Amino acid sequence: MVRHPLRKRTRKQKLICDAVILLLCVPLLIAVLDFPIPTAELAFRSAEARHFFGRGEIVLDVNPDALGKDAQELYLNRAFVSRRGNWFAYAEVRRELLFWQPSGGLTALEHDPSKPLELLAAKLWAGRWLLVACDLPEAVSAEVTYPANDGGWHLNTRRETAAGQGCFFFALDEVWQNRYGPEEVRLRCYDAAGNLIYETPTPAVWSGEYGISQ
Amino acid sequence: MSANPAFVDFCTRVCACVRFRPDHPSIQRELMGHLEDRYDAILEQEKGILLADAQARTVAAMGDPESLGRYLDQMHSPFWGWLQIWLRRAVWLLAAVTIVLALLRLEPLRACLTAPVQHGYVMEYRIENNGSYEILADWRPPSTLRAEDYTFSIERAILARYRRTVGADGEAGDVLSLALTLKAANINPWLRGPDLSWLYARDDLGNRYYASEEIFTTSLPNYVRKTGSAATVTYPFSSYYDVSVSGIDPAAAEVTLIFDRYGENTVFLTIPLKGGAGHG
Amino acid sequence: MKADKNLLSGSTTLLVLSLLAAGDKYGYEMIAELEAKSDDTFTLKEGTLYPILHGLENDGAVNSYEKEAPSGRTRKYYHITKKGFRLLDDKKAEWKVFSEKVNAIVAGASPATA
Repeated sequence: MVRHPLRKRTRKQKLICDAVILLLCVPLLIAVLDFPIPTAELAFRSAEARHFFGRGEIVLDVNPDALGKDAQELYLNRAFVSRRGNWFAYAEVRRELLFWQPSGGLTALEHDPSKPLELLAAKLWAGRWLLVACDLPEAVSAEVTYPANDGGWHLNTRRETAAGQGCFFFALDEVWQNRYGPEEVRLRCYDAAGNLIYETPTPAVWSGEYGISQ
Repeated sequence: MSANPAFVDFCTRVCACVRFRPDHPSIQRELMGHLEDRYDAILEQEKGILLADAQARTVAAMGDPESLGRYLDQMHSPFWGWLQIWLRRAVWLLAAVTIVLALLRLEPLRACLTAPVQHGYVMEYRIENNGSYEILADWRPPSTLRAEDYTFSIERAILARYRRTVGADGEAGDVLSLALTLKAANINPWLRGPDLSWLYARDDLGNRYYASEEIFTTSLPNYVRKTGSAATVTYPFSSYYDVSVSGIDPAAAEVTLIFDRYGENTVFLTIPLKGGAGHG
Repeated sequence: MKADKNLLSGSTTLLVLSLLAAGDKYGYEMIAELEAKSDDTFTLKEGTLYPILHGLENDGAVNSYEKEAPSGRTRKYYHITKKGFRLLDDKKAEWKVFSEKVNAIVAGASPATA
């Protein structure tokens, strides 16, 4: 009698065969998809490494949905802020279908430790948000007052509660002009009871260059 | 010959107790075969028996269909059965998708594996050499550097001499220019294409060759000594950069590339200048 | 004399594997051969044979394949695997121990050996 014309494969053999195919397909698929990055945080870490920032401690996860702001308004998808010593790193990431990509470069900002409250965002490109470093642990909210122009110079004030550790993130209603520097802005921070803990000096340019009477 | 209805009925009753439907056909075939074999054997052994009796005996010999069905049901687990069916479908679908995508992106895949060198604008200009530079050396420095997640090496270096403004008052002098094709290799493809805009250089005489980013963010005169770097091509596991150090002092014997943005991640790659001061 | 079925039920696996050890067979073939070899002493109920065969196949002790006979009937043949041979050896050993114990008790109408 003919021996073993076409043996039906056992379930176990079929499972092994499927597992092997899977093991071969997955790396190939990853290569074909150009090694996508699965999470937003990993995309940020790749930005950190590529800019030789080193691995910082993530102090702020700027997630427009979680912060309750309209992402359109903020002109960003998602961003992270990490800190190493006195250096802060800011980088945006964006979603591409199922995966994430770093978007744009990484901006590194050095915080002057002699200033308990310091505006870091002055060194960034024009955007609608500000990043303020704060070394006072008891501060739970911060306020920024800056000159704005719609028809005439006046002062706008925004207040935020801390979303990150040691820093505050402000989303503005209007575009922050690139030429504003930290010397044109006044910062204040408050403790849990609402008491003013610290404020930066009132900029001279308000009454000077901008002619704003307070 | 058509199937005997009594046998079909028996098989159906057995299969009714087996939850895992996909195995019904093969169970049915096996039992039918058995019933038919038994039926034939009975007919052969007892000539003259009524067909109906033979049928009845055949079926009776198999026993109770429901209990047989229940035993078989224990052996044909629906959980593992369906799991394997769906797993198989998923795997084959994945394999099909992968192969289709791979065929569509064959070139990038091949580039990813071979990662061919590509020279940048400055290097190409030197290689062409339309005469504005005097080429002193064209070689491949063996210098390599392992730093953080990258391994830096130099694919090609061209040292040239030319004349240009060297001072604030517009005086001209001979300077050297070093064009490099720098390769940054990384194991982790997520880290491809490091940012070298802060790459600057120093020579052994202490001169500083400012990084592109430094020049961009501060205002320095255009005759200043510079280090330029631009990414040429980025592959998953390596990237190439067009690096040029210009305004090099002709007396310098070596140039060191430095990655030091934050004051501590300092990393060095030294390139001896063949054809420099010592070589004339 | 008709053998007591209880003696048989625990050793059906042993019988099935032994039959297959001699060569691939399909279900009915095993029953017919068993009847022939035991002079009709043993009649294996089909109700137990197929569950056992399918169970052995799940465990990997046997493989199966379907072959079409000249008469047009497809038969599912079973083939014993290496694992099946190991199981057969275990069952044989079990049977040996079992039968020795039974023999010892039966023979020991006289007091048991110390």
